[in-house]
Amino acid sequence: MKVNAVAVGIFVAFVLLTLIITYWSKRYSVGTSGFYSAGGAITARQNGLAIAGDYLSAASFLGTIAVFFSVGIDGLLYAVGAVAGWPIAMFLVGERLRNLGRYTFSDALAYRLADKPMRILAAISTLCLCVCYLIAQMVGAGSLVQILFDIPYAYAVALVGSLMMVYVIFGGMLATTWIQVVKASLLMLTTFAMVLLVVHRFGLDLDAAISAQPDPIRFLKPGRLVSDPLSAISLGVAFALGPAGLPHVLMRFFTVKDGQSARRSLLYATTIIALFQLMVVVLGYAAAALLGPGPLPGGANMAAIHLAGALGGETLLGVTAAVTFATILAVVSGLTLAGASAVSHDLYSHVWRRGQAKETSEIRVSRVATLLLGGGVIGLAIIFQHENVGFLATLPLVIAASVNFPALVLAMHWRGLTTRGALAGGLTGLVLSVGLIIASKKVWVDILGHESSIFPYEYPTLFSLSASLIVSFFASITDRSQRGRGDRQRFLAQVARSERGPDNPPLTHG
Amino acid sequence: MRRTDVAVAQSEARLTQLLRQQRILAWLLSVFTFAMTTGFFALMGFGAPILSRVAFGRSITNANVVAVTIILLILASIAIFEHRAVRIDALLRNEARESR
Repeated sequence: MKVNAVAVGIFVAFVLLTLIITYWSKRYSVGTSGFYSAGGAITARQNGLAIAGDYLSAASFLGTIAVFFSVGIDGLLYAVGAVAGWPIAMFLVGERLRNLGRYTFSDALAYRLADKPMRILAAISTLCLCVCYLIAQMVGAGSLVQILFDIPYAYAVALVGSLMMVYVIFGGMLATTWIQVVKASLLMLTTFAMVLLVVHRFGLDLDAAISAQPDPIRFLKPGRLVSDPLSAISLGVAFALGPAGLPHVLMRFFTVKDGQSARRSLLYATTIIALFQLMVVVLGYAAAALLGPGPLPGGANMAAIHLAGALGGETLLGVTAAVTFATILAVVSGLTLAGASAVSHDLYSHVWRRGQAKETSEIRVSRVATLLLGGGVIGLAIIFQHENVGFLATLPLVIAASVNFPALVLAMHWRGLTTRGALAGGLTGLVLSVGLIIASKKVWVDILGHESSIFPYEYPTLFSLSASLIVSFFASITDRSQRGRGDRQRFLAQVARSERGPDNPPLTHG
Repeated sequence: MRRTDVAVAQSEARLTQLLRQQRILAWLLSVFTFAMTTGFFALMGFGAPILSRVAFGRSITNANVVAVTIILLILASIAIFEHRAVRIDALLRNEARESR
């Protein structure tokens, strides 16, 4: 394939800009506070953009347009789903989490529950989630870079992985936040430009999308993306509750100065994501109209890139490809930081050193963990090059909705939750999320080659989340231990702190 | 000028009441958002015929209308929540100032 000079130019410019940001961030990423949470110096507006950037991954941009192009109106599921989780994160989690924690969401879990088991559970789920997400993103990034820049896949993956490690190791949270801010702005501007070109070409009449379809009724008929209603509901549950359990997003709540700013960050993030998805719906229709019904070079996932070419020629195609690449690069950096923090802050500092680790050694462990995680993911992405890794992109939201979300929400809102309940429920959610995805058609039949699947549905969230909640409930109410009593007794103090912040203790607890 | 104990108690009572109302609002809006989303996904999964009925022109169906309505309702719900939260923020700031 011919190398697109515009794409290469913008890609190089973006990488240079991000390296400058990393160099600048290095001097502020001092101490654990600087490294994990940018010293709390990010404003709500910047953080809102960064959170939106974390969620508006290549899968969100390329995937939604690809669904419209290949399946039709079912693309609306992704558009609505991408917005639905954020208000719930804002209403139930955001401000409370910031008021209770310091660097990772396990700080809030361990506020009234036992430190060690909660941090081990949080670290395991964070690492599972981050590794799955990272492999899926890296395989996508490798393929994209390989096609666009005409370099071998392994080099492309190594390039992406090396850049991501540099950002995290030297720039910490401040660099990854600013890279997200830049990337989210670029993605919004590119999408807006594409929408303007669509409106310029068709006006506000989307009927052309239908005219181009060989079977318009089929395009407008829902129910083709997900084959059965239970799987559709499970997907909806994952979209609605998953965002409030994504560790790389939850970490961002600690980069602002207080709980109110964390809440306001989510206000901005939700608004940005909603506007983005509304624009993507227009682009989805435009892709169906302009790209025709036939197969596309690179597959349906490249529909957004080809649409850019159809709307603005080679220049816009290059810009869109480079921005998509920037999107992947920014998202994998955030994920790597979250994974490394789970190792250094939760496992090393709190579990192994019992909260007595020196700041310098904790950060050193975090940097080593970044190297190991980055190296491991590069290797796995090369191994999985020819595999269908679509299920790895689904798994993070399922784990977040089935493990982190119930543990966090019950810990913050239900007095009866004890350490035993949280641990039992969390492990149940984790085992079922991973186990049922493996037993589903996507892995059991499509990858492992069995004749039929053990688990008949495509998405397991409905089952894994329900089981997690039920087990948490029963394990808690039957917990008569001394530790369980203590867990319940500390609840009111936790509520006061989570709602009022550290500076406003209530006159009485009652 | 320092407030009297009665004024402090009244302010604390008002804050406690607002926090309780906000907690209830948070759960109501969350359940509402969750129900809208999963309901929409269920209807799409069933391939409900009502969703494929054309609402405007030849390409805008009821599914589009419902999807955009859900997104707009979500934006409205976060605006309502934030509007009420700002009042609590102001009270908390006053409390913090007074206690210093």
